[in-house]
Amino acid sequence: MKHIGEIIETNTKMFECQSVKLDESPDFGGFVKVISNDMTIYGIVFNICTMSEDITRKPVAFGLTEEELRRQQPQIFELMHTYFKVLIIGYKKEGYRGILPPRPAKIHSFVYDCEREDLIDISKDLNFLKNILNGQTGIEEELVASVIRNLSKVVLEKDCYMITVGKELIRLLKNDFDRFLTIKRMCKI
Amino acid sequence: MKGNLFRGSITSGLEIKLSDGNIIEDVKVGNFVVIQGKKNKYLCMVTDIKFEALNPQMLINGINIEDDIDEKIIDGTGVYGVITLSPMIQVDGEGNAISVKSIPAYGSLAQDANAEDIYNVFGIPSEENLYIGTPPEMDIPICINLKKLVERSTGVFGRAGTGKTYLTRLLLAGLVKSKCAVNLVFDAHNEYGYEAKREGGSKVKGLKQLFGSQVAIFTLDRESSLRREVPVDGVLNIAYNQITPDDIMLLNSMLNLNNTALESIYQMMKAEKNDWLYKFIKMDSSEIEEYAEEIGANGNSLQALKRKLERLTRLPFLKHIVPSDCVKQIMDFLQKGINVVIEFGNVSTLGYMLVANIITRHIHEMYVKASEKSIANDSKEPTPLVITIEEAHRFLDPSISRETTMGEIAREMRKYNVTLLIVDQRTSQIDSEVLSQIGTKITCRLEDDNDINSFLSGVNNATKLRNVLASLDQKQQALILGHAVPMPVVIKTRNYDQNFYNDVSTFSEDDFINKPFLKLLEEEKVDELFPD
Repeated sequence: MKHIGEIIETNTKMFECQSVKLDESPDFGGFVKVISNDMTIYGIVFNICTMSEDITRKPVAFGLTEEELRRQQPQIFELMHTYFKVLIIGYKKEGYRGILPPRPAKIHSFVYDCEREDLIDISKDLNFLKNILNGQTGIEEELVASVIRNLSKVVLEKDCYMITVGKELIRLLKNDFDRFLTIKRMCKI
Repeated sequence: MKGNLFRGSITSGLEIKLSDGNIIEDVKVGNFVVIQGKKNKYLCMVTDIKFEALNPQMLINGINIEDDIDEKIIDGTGVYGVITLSPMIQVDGEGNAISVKSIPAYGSLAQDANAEDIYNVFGIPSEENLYIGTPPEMDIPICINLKKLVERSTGVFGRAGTGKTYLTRLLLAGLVKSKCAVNLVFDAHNEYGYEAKREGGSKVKGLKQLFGSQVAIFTLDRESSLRREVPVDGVLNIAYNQITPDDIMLLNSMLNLNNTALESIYQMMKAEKNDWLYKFIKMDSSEIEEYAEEIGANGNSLQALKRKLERLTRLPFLKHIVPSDCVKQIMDFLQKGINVVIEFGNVSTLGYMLVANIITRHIHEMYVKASEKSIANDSKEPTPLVITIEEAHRFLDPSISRETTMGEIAREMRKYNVTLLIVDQRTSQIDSEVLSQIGTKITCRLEDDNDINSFLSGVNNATKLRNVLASLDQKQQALILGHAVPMPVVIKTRNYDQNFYNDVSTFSEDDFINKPFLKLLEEEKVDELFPD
């Protein structure tokens, strides 16, 4: 199993990773896992950015194609990195639980893409919806919709799953029905 | 149906949130639902069905749902069905059914009642428990307790064509079969005694065909009975001297009599005793003038009275001298426990009312005497008597019900074992005091607001039952409440068909289906039955 990133900042609710390769982060709304201490911690990718290693040095536009740029200014690609943030949604220790782990993921731990079995475990526990809607990411609706779309591809009975998730969303968003409608619309691609 | 209790009170009823997967359209007003509480079981009736939403906005925005999945998401979660139940009976841990004094615990499971629940409350069909119908959506017999039914008066109401006669036939057949009471039926439209036509053309059996010698038919219109080939047991004639001023007073509105006229009648009665009517009608104008002076009445008003009373002379059964005292015969039959149906043939309403009043008056006397005797001797009370009257509002109209024997029976006679079975279309035209004394009320669909109000006046939970009443089908459905049933109940009336005949009749199929009594009659020489 090849890792796709490494944790460079961590706390109870989320962690930030650096991608192994430039511009090769997991997708927005994708699921990743990290093995830390004696458990596997699961999370959702919600913010991806590529920027200079040195925050005081801002990249400039050269007006060249990528190929020309690689030929003329190869150092640029060495100084740039892709980072992504992950919202923690659960952990596995003798079975998956959709709640925050007792300890955060360790720094410099490797981050891996989730496999199908992991996704099926996650799909069974809808606590992640509440976790996302709590508003730590700033893009709650988009993230919920993206996660639901991703999970609906792995579950056995898609329609049934969409109904269960929809009902949970209605419960959570009972005071903001418009928000529910927005998410529902975003779920359909 | 399945759901959980989430709100409720004794006065406003219990509210159930319909569980996921249950379709609100499957729940019907009037159905039975059982709620299993922590200690007690509650048998309830569905009285209202509505939607509620987690958020009122959902009710509006949720309408624009795009597909099946969206519909399923919102249904039962955002917008859900709420069933209002009226708890009717509470069954405690030891199985005793008592009136409702508490409500089930929050979250208790509610589901459709099953056969056992219904049997526990209404009993299983037996001689005393008449299987009268089933819940509208179930196939479980619901019984009415005949012993209790005859303890108080009973009313069968409903608009024309909703099945009143049908229900009455079931009740009468049940009563005759069970022998809980002896019946006297004033059969205004010739529907109970012998064969009658059902709406749609086919024929149904009358009491005589089902019970043979346990039922006697008397007719006021011999010709009509002969034409319809009804095997009558006697032709009922009334003598003028059997008519009292009280009987005339009942006909007040039809004959258009004023107070002076009524007073004159009393004066004549005083002077002439029982013969007053015959003598008066036979007088010519000059005799009337003299007679008026003699008794101190106004001549003109007596003339007018005579003109009005002459309508009575056109009644075919009214005779100066009657061959036999039929009223006494009827009394004898009733005392022997034989049920009597009086057919009116084509006799007018006037005749119907006159005869019904005369006969009930005699019954009144007979039963009061018999009851008093039984109290004095500590002996057995007379068999309960049920008098069935159609178009009851004519007898029980607020303006006259205080004076008529029917009114008195309705109010007082249960103490003497006589009760009424009132069949009527207009509850609002029956004296409210009489209506309030009716023990068991059975109604088919009513539409007039006044009728519904009168029917429900004095009924517990009236507003909720109003919904139930309004949702009854046009035909063959009835709401029963009162003394003979442990809780109000909506039934789909049982079919009055071969199965029913087999249940109640002691005859074998061949005996009463094709050649019942006519052949027997021929053998016994019909003429002998009608001595001229």
